[in-house]
Order: sequence, then structure tokens, then C-alpha cells
Amino acid sequence: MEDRGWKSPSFAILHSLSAILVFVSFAQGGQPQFTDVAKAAGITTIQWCGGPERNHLLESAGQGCAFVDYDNDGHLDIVLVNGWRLDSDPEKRKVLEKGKLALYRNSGDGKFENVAEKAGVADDSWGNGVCAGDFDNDGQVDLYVTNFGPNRLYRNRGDGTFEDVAKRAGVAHASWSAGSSFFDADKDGDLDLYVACYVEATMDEVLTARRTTVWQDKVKVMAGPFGLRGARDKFYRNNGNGTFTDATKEAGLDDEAEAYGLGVLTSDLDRDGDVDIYVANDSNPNYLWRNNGDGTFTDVGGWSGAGLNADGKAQAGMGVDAADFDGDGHTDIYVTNFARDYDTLYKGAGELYFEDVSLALGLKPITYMPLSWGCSFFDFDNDADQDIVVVSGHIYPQVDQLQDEAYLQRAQLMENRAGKPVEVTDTAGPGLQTKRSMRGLAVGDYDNDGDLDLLITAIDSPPLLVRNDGGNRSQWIQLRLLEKTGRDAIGARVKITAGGKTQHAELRSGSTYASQSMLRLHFGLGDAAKVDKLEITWPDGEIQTRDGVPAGQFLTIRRGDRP
Amino acid sequence: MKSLLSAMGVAVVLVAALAATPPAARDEQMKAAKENGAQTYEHLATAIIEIRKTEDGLVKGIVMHNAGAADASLARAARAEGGDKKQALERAADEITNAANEGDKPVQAVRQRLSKAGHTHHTDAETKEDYIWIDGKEKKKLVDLAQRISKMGDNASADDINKARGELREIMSGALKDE
Repeated sequence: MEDRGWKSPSFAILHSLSAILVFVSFAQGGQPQFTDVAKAAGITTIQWCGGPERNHLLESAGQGCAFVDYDNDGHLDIVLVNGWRLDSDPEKRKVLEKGKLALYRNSGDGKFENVAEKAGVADDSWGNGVCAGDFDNDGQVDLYVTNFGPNRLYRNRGDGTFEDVAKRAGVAHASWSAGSSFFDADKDGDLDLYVACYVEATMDEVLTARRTTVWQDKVKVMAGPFGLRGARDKFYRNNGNGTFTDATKEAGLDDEAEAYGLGVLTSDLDRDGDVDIYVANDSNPNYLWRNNGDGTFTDVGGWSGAGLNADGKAQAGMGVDAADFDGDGHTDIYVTNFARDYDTLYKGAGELYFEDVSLALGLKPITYMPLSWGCSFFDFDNDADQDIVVVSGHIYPQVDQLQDEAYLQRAQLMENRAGKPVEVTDTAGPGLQTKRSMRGLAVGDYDNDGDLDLLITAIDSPPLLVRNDGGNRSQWIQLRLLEKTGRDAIGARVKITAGGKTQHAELRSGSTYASQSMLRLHFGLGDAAKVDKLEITWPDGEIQTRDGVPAGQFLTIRRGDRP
Repeated sequence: MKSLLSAMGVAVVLVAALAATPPAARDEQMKAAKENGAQTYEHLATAIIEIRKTEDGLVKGIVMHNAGAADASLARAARAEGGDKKQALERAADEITNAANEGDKPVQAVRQRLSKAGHTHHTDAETKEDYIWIDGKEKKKLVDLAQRISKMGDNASADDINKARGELREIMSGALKDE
């Protein structure tokens, strides 16, 4: 195992000093502080991704993660996708270890236990990402794991165990699958599935790959994605009986450009009552598939303003998330991009029109050098607006030979100040000062204390479980929305008004980078002690409202329940 | 790998044949082989240059087709009403985007396949700026025009639509000019 800093004694000393600083800052009522508690919580699985020199693109992609309450006990559990460890043999690399998927059960006291073997999910495929959704409407959340090779659909039996039904269900698709998302494309009450696929490659090509590209005219690095053939995305329509049909062509979602698909976001971006799809493509224009209202789609990315950047250029899209960042009532989209390029914030203007406002909002100096992956809008300080967190890490370890780039990078926290992102990472606590080659990101309140924590994966490293301390000093509310079947109501939208401010949120599967955030909606409320009006638009369009909902609670609302 | 082994096999046979030949005749044979090699490569170079010109011409044709389809959709939009108008405008926006990308999605997939084989004449992979005909600035103009057209909506006037047609023609005539 390579020493990447997290094992060193100096790190332990720094960690202790940082914890003291956290306490002092917290006591003084300053900015919320983040602390990495993964080791203390018992989360020690190393997520492998290839050999140390990273000869093939597969070894750069990393793995995703999930916050998901798989046993319905009210505590968020953790899923960590895993890859393989390779050696450095110059002729043909050998597999040193096939990492297994980890499922950490949250015992509710700050500790976690890896129960993957018991649960039947300890798969040793070279994994990439995960998303969650109850595809069979039995009230138990299921998991879809994307792999380099056949994907897995883990059906939750409801007794703490899962069975892989991917082949039987028709969604095993053996490719290099990346981001994925469950969503109800045709409003028939069950969850369909979109899977982004990246590049066509074989394991033999991975094991015999050579570094043939030159980065910055100085160092030899892995090739791709340009020069490699893109793999086509897939769309599966749920048949309602535990199986899916490959409806990619029928739904108009044929990935004829063979774009290098990575991040997937499913959201009703134009708020017209059906769910659209946004795919962050690496080095190709991003896709924006508009739902035509009948479960078929049209790609409007080219002229929507969200396919290219402000200069009309395709960027290397990796992760994606969406929220109303500027509070104007329209959904905005954030996409992470490569090093020496900026992350893109597409401001929504309604009706699926967007404008790249990254330069105008000052995102370029913040995000230009990092190579960024998982991203999420979230209200870390509960002041009733959407902040941004981005996790980063280079793909070429060889950049450590250069002066101005680094393989290991920090996460970045950007506070929303009147619709402008301001980086506050330096004062956000020790948990956000750690440097890794980060990839996946999930956001959730794992300790149920009313503020949002972070789960971050990193190449050849255990994950970071970054606890938020102090975010709950302001008011908040969390909502769990369930259909009558008990399924999490993915696709439901909520509008709240509290303290004179209106906020919107949507329950989604997938997004960020190959990861899954908690299936609860969290609203920071500032000083407001109650939500004056809460309006839920269920996925089929039915609207339900509640008035005067007290803050500071976890509220489960099942469709049809009376207050 | 197979072609390398075949070439090596041929070379071994040739060398063996030469070794068996008397010295004076061997010199003549080597001189002829050298001249033949150069001539063959000359023919191949001509073919490669012609293929590049053919690719230029083909891509120009593809872009012209996209632009032509956009223009036809705009003409239709100028005459149409309501939902038909909006549909025609969106179709025009699609085709203009295709022109900006020097081809629609299947063409983009072909470009990626060529890149995989080491062919880069046609792509912006190296410069990140220009394709064969549409440079970075023209692409931006086309993408912006596409968005503006898509936003025109059901009530767009014939005048506004025809203005957009004029703009498209101006960009394309600059882009497709032989240099």
C-alpha cells in the first residue's frame, strides 16, 4: 500500500491539533467546521484503482459511493464501490488484489460495520459507480452498481441482504459504465434507468497499456479519451414486473456520437412535469435530453446553452449537479471539468435555456487548476441557500514532477454569497484540508444532527467521512418523501417558504460523480423557526401542501398522509 | 504485429535471394529495388494527399448539407404558424448545431473512430480550436445563432426569421471559403 500521507504520524498530530481548532471555532460561533472521522468510525476499506503509474484511462476514473439507508432504520449507511489493484510490470500488469464492494452499516453511534459479505454485495468486479432507487416498488431501496464489465442490480430483500438480479432484469450490460440514475421517464409509477458509458476497452488493453501521451510537453501519461472509441449510453424502461427493456433507441436516446459519458443527472429541469436527462460528457458536448412528455426524448444540448461553454467549446465533463443556486426560481447546473479548465455553472433561464456564467461569477480562478469530479449543491451552513462542494484529484501521478500541478488535491467548499460562489475551504476545518486524488462524493446527514456531512472517495485510499460540526446552529428541516408503496418518491419536487425566502428541491437518484446522496431533502432555514408553507409536487403531478411545519425535525411524509 | 512479421519474412527471403546472386547482378538488383521503393512511396503519397482532399470535400459537403437543411427549416418557419413554426425553428437550431460541429452525431462517432486510428486531420483534438472548415470563432457564432433561433418561439416574425437566415449564410460563406 502506498504511503499517501494518511497513515503518517505527522498526520495524526495535525489531526489532533485541528480537532482542537474545530472546537475553538465552534465555541466562538464561527463557520461550520468539517472533520474527517472515517477512521474513527471504522471505515477503512481501501478503494483500489489500478497500478501506481496509471497506464490506462480505467485507472484514472476512480469509484463512487453512496449514503443510503438500506435497512430503513433511520440512519444513513454507506456503500463504497471498489476496483482492482495492479502491479507495475512493464510488460503486462498483474492483478494484485480485486477490491470488493463495501457496505457499511451505520450503528447510530458514530460507528460503522462492513456487512457486505453478510448482505451479499461483496462483489469483486472492477466497479465504477452506484445509484439507488426502489425499482420494484416494494418499499426497500435497491442499488445499481456500474462496473467495467457486467453491472449489478442489487435487489434489497428487506432482511439486510440483497440479491443480484441484473441479468434476470436485463440491465447487466457489460461495458465501461459510469454514472447512472433511476427516474420515472414515462410517469407510469416505476423507476426506469439511464446508464452513461465511457469508453470501449478490454481488460487485456488495460493490463498491457503504455503511457503514450505527453502532458504539458514534459511528462508521459496515459492516453485518452481522445483516440479511444466511445461506449454508447443505455436507457432501460421498467416493465413493472422486475424486468427492464433496453429502450435506448425507442426512446430517442441513441448515443450515436458515442460520446464519453460520465456524469448523469435526471431532473425536471424545465419544471414541466416530466424528468429530463443531462449527461456530462468528457471532451464531447454534454447532452441535454428533453423529455417530450411521453417517455421519448430529444437532445437539445447543442442549442440549450448547457452543452458547451461560453466559448462554444466542449469541456471534459465529469460530475454534475443541479439546484437553484441564485434563487431566481430556475434550476442551475454545475459541471466539473479537467485541470487547466474551469468548472462550469450554467444558469437556468427556464424552458431548458441556460447560460454559462462561470467567468462572470469568478469560478475560473477557483476551479482552473484542480481536476474536479464529484460536485454537489448543498446548504452546509443552513442559511437557506445552496453552497457548492467539489472534490478533486489529478489523473496523472506524473504531474508531481511538474512545478505547478499536483496529483493529490483538496476538496473545495464555496459559500453562496448573494448568488456568487466564494471559496471558504481554508477556514472550513481540517477535514477539507486533506489532499487525495478524490473522485466520488455523496452528501448526507449520517449523524442525524441536522447538518450535511460529506462522503468522499479517493484513489487507492480509504474514503473520507467528513463530519459537519456547527452547520446545525441555524434552523433546518429534513423531509423523507414516500409513495404509497413505501418507495422513496424519486422525482418529487418540494417548494418551501420560510422566513420570507422560497427554496426548491428535488429528490433524485444518482448525479454528482457516479455516486448517490441521501434520499432525503434537507433545507437550511436560517433563523426561521418554521416552514410557513410546504408544497410537494409528487412525480405524477399531484400537489400536496402543509402549512406551519416546525423546523428542527426529520419529517416523513407518505403520499396521502394527512398532517 | 502480423503485418510486421510478414514484412520481416519478405525481407528475409529477399536478403537470402540477394545472397545467392553474383555480386554485379546483386548491385543492379539493389539499385532497382531502391528506385521501385521510392516510386511506390511516391504513388502512395499522391493517394494520401488525394484522400485528404477528398475528406476535405466530403466534410464540406456534410457541413453544406447541415447549413442547407437549417436554411430550409428557417424558410419553413417563416411561413408556418404556431406549433409548426416552433418545430421548424428547433429543427433549424439542430442543423445549425450540427454545422457547428461539422456533422451530426453519427459523423462525430466516425471522427472518434478515425482519431483512434491516429488520424487527426479532421478533428479539433489537437488544437482544441478548429475543425477542417469551421474554426473556433465560427463555431461560437453558429452555436449562439442556434440558441437565438430556438428561443424565437411561436410568434417569431418572418422578418426576424429571415434576418437569422441572412446571418447563417454570412457565417457559412466565410467558413466554407477555399483558402
